[in-house]
Amino acid sequence: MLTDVVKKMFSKPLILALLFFISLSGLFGYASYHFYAEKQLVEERLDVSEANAKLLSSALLKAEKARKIADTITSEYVFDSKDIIASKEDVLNKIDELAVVVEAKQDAITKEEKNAIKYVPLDGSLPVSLRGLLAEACLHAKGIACNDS
Amino acid sequence: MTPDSLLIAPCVAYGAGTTVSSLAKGYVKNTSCIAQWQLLLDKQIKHKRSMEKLYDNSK
Repeated sequence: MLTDVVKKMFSKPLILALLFFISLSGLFGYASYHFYAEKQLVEERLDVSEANAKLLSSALLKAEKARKIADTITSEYVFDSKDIIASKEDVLNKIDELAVVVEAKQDAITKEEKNAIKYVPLDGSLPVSLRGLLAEACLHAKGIACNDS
Repeated sequence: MTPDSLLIAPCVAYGAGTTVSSLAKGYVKNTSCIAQWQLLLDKQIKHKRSMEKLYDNSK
């Protein structure tokens, strides 16, 4: 009697439906497990990517700052260098002017006198005006021995 | 890394020539040349220290 009732309850379509739902549940279970693992992996990758993006952004900012510093220092160098060159040119021009004055004075000297003073002795003193200009050049170059010249 | 603009030779040494004038000019050019090299070195040092400061501060 009871077995008949059970047999009726578990008829073939019901068993099939039960098997179908069990397999479906298993499939969903596996799928959710699989996608959860994948989601974890993607989240991990996202975290790494975010960290990398932050690092890259920071590196980019630093590179930009470094470029600005390099530009500023280069500009300073060019400006200061021009100042040194201008000072040098100024002294060179003064030496040229001095040479013109000396030549004008020498025009008044006779040929014999010119031959006599053709060579400057090694221990001969430099003209005072020239010494002044050389000292000026040394001062522009911030030489430590400027006082000796 | 030092920028290329600071990796240059600003000038070369000048000879004494054969006259007092050329000797004096050589002296002026050479002292000026030393000043330019010194300036370049100062700027390279400044750049190096700035880079150290920039990259050490952000560690």
